[in-house]
Order: sequence, then structure tokens, then C-alpha cells
Amino acid sequence: MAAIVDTEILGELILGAFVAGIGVTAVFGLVIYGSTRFADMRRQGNTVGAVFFGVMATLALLVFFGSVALGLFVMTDKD
Amino acid sequence: MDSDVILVIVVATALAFDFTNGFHDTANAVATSISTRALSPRAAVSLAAVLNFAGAFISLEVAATVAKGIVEAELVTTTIVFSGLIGAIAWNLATWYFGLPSSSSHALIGGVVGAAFAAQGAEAVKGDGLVEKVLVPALVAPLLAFVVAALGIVIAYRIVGRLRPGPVNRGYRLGQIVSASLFSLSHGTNDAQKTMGIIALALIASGDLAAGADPPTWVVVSAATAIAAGTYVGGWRIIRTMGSRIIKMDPAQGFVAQGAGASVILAASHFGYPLSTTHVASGGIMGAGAGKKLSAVRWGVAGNIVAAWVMTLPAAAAVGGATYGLTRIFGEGALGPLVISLSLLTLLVGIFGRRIAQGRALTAEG
Repeated sequence: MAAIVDTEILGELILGAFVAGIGVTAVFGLVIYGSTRFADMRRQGNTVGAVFFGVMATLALLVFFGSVALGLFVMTDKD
Repeated sequence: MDSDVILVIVVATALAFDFTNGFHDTANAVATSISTRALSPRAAVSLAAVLNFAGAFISLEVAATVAKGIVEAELVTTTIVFSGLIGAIAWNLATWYFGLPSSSSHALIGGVVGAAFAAQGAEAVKGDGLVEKVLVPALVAPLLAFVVAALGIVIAYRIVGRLRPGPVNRGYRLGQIVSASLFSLSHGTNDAQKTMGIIALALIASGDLAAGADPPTWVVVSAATAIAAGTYVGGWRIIRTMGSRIIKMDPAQGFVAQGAGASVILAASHFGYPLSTTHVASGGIMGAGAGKKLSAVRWGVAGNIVAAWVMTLPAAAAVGGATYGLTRIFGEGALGPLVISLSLLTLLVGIFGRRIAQGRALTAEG
């Protein structure tokens, strides 16, 4: 069985899928957390808190779109 | 003359398969978005259709042979390819009728394997290739997507669990539009290529295309159009199963199921591992449900889906083999494929015509 199945590629796939799948869902969760808390802080007049969560949401959004761009690159780079 | 007729029939059948592939697999990309109301049904299938069309033009790689590494390529004839396509179409239609998501790729491989077996015997089929490219991925895809989505939803709830549900749901619905788009684009790059490969193979076999040459533009455009048209028509029965019958999902689960699924598929693309988008999408939905609560998954529905996956290869192989046997009754010329195509077409027109006349066709509005 091990001779038929390329266990090295399978291992890389499992690791890559875990990192990408859990990474994307966690990062997008931070986008929502940061933006919701940003809105709450701004409403309460807490400028420092609003800036902190605004930066968090922006950075997470950048990472999220970066991962989407990486996904598009993977699609076009098949060989 | 005969070879020209067979070529036309194979091209038309390949495009018909491409169409069924599109409407069968629409659910993979849009079911969760429709279920959580991230997109309206018509907007979801329109987006998926456009991106499937675009996806067909993105990748330069075209599958050179049907079921490469699984059947002996030099033994494959256009009649075997035709019979394999009929097996795949029949299985796609049967599973659509019962609202069960199943792999169109595995159906195509099964059809070709069955036809090759009927034509050339057991030596035409490579057992190792079947294990490596069909059986192991069929186990890995749903399990991997299940575990990734289950962990993903646990993490997502940890992060956003204490926030007001309104903005959280709105945010995840927006995220779903992005993940559905990625899923659709990825599907177009993978699945339209299969049809291009089949048509290119038929053109090479008939001497109309040099071996190793890129497929003509009309092949690329027609394959892209067929899969996009099928996607737009939408397999609503399967969309309903994946969107609301496996789990009742909230927007976070919908995003995690799709996001985890898209990540698994793209990781598989990157490492060159052949995974079925249907298996991944279904596994992701089950995982997003089980991660919240095991009992949230309707395991009876999930069991039916798994049973359909197990039956895909043998059932499509049986139809592919039987079709090949039927074509042989009419001799080696074009008459067999012609009679079978016309019979299938008549049957489909009869079935769909009756359903439409009875007003029971499932649509975006239904």
C-alpha cells in the first residue's frame, strides 16, 4: 500500500490543508472580531481601543486577501 | 465517414457530460451561500457560472488522456471513451435525481474503466492506479475537509462567540461570497479541463489533432460554455441536500465549510494530489456541523451520501461496460454510438418534458 500511495505528498497535503484551512478561518474570525469591536469602541468614544481593533481588523483583512491571492496563484500555476 | 460520425458523437457526448458536471457540482460552491442567505439563489448560480467559465481559461494544463494512469492509454478507443461518458452521465443523472452529491470525476473514471474492461479485459485496467488516484483520495478528501472544518468552526466560535450576532453574521456572509468565488473558479480550472482532454483525445485518435498539441480554441470555448451553462441551470436537488439537509447551518459554519474546503482543494492542487471537490465540500459541511455539535449532523443523510460515493465507481463502470457491449451489437461502426445517443436523448427529453409539463421541475425559486 505504501508503495502505491505517495505518503510524502499525502503528508504535505495534510499539513498544508490544516495550515491553510485553519489559518484562513482564524484570520477571517479576527477580521470580524476586530471590525465589530472597532465599531463598539468608536460608539463608546474609546479612541485608543478603536484604533487598536481597527488596526487588528485591517491587518487580518490584508492577510485574508493575501491568502486569496495565494489561492489564485496556485490555481494558475498548476503543472 | 464512420470515424467522423463517431468523432461528432463523442464531442457532443463529452459536452453533455460537461453540462451534467456543471449542474451536478453547482452545489459544491453555492449550497452554503444560498442556505445562509449570503447570496440569493439566482445570484449564486450566476456568479458560479461566470467563474466556472473564467476558470476554464485560467489553467494551461489540459488532461492529455482520460483516466490517465488508471487504464492502459494505448488500448482506449473513441468507442470506449463514448461508453465511459455515457456511464458517467447516467450516474450523474441518477445521483442528481436522488439529490446526492457524488464525484463527476470518479463517475467518468468508473465509466471509462468499465468500458475498457468490457472491451479489452482486466489487463486494460491498472489496479494500482485505481487505488492511488481514486480509492485513497476518496478516503482522504472528506476526512481531511471534515477535520479541518470541525477545528475551524471551534476556533471561529472561540474568536467571535461573545460578539453580537448581527455584525458577525453579516461579516461571514460577505466572506462566503469570496470563498464561493474561489470554489467556483477552482472548479472551472479542474473540471472543464477534463472535457477538453476527452475532446482532444478524440481529435488525436481521429487524426484531426497532432499528439501533444494544445486543444483548438473552439474546444476550450465549448467546454467552458457547457460547464458554465450546466452550473447556471443548477442541480437544485443537490443544492438542497448540501445546503440544508446535512446540517442546518449559520453563516459562520457556511464560511468555515467553504473556506476549509477551498483551502483543502487548493492545497491538493499545489501538491498535485487529485481530490474530488464534491467529497471535500460535503466533508467540510459535515465537519462544520460536527464541530458545533455532533448531533447537528443528520447522519442518515450523510450515510446516504457516503453510500453514493462508494457506489459511484462500480455503478458508472457497470453502465460504461454495458454501453460498450450494446454498441458492439451494432458492429464496429458509428451505428451503435448513434443509436445509444439518440435513445438517451429521447429518454432525457421524455423525462424532463414530463416533469416540466407537470410543473414539478426544481428551480432557483423552488
